[in-house]
Amino acid sequence: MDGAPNRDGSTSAAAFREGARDALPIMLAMTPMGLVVGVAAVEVGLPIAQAIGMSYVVFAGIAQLAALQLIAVGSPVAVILVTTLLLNLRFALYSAAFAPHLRSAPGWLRAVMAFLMTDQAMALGSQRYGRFPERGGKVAYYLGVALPTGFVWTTASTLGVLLGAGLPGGLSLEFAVPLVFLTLWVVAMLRGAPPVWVAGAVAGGVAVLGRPLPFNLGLLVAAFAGIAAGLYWETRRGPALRPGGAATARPGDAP
Amino acid sequence: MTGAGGWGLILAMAVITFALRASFIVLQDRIRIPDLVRRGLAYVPAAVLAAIVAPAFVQLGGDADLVSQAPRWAAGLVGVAVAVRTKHMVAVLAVGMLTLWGVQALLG
Repeated sequence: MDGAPNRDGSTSAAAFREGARDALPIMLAMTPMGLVVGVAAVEVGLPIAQAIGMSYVVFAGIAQLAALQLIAVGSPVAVILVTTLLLNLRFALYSAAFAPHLRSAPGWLRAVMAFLMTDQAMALGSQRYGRFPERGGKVAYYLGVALPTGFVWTTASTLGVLLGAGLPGGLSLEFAVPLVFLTLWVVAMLRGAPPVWVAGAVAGGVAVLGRPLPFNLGLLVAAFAGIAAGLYWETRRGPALRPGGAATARPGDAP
Repeated sequence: MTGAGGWGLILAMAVITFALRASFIVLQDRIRIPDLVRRGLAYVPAAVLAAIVAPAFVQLGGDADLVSQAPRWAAGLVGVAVAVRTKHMVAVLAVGMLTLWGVQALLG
């Protein structure tokens, strides 16, 4: 961000501002999710420091919320970690898509950018890199999206923790977590084609039937059964996404 | 905090998440995503979210009685309807929680 001109004469500072401007609507959209994650962390009984710290070190809203829900139902650590892996696998795809564009940055900066990766940075970055492949300031643009959104996310979830700590008990607020997941699930299903519907339906059914399994293993059995059913259906009947759909589903307004 | 939770869990989640994000950006092209994983990823949101959500709303078996489940069923059904129409998380949260509290109050 030193203002040195890029090959095409634009400056990094301008690209950073461009990214931040593009990210503005997203910052508004991710605020409620941040608040919910904060409130939920308190509701399931995490100490304040952990409830706040989680958003700063994990920095992945959907996986965090899933972990909180799993803590609430008494899942073992291993199930929570496999769920984290599954829900965040998409970041490896984003990482592959972004790597060629961020090559010019030194190693430490690439690590910082990797840490700050979100669905939003992916969406905006691939849009700009795709539309203007030769335009400079790719790293600065990425940081312009990722730094402010990261700040908004961590601040919102911190506020949520403080809010949750101040709210009275007995409001069944822990129920907000399944409601958020319900929304994300409906959006994922609406965005998908038939194989995705099969995956969602099979996973839901197996999860309900598998609830008596020990260690909350029903969750993982259901998830893999759903994914396998989707793959099977796709092999038999056609692709997962509607024509023109995104290459990877964007699960929601969270990092 | 009993059982799961704690800094150990949080740090382990952080390590997994960072490893996935850093994979290609930091290591460049020295790794490859298997094709099956790439294709399977399209089904992860629908499948994993369903696996988390469904048992929270629908519970079969011994500990499931109708009266204690009715508020959650009502909130879940209303939530799906609002989600399909609006796709908006805040709307689903507001209507869903109000439904839950309303039915809880009705059933005393």
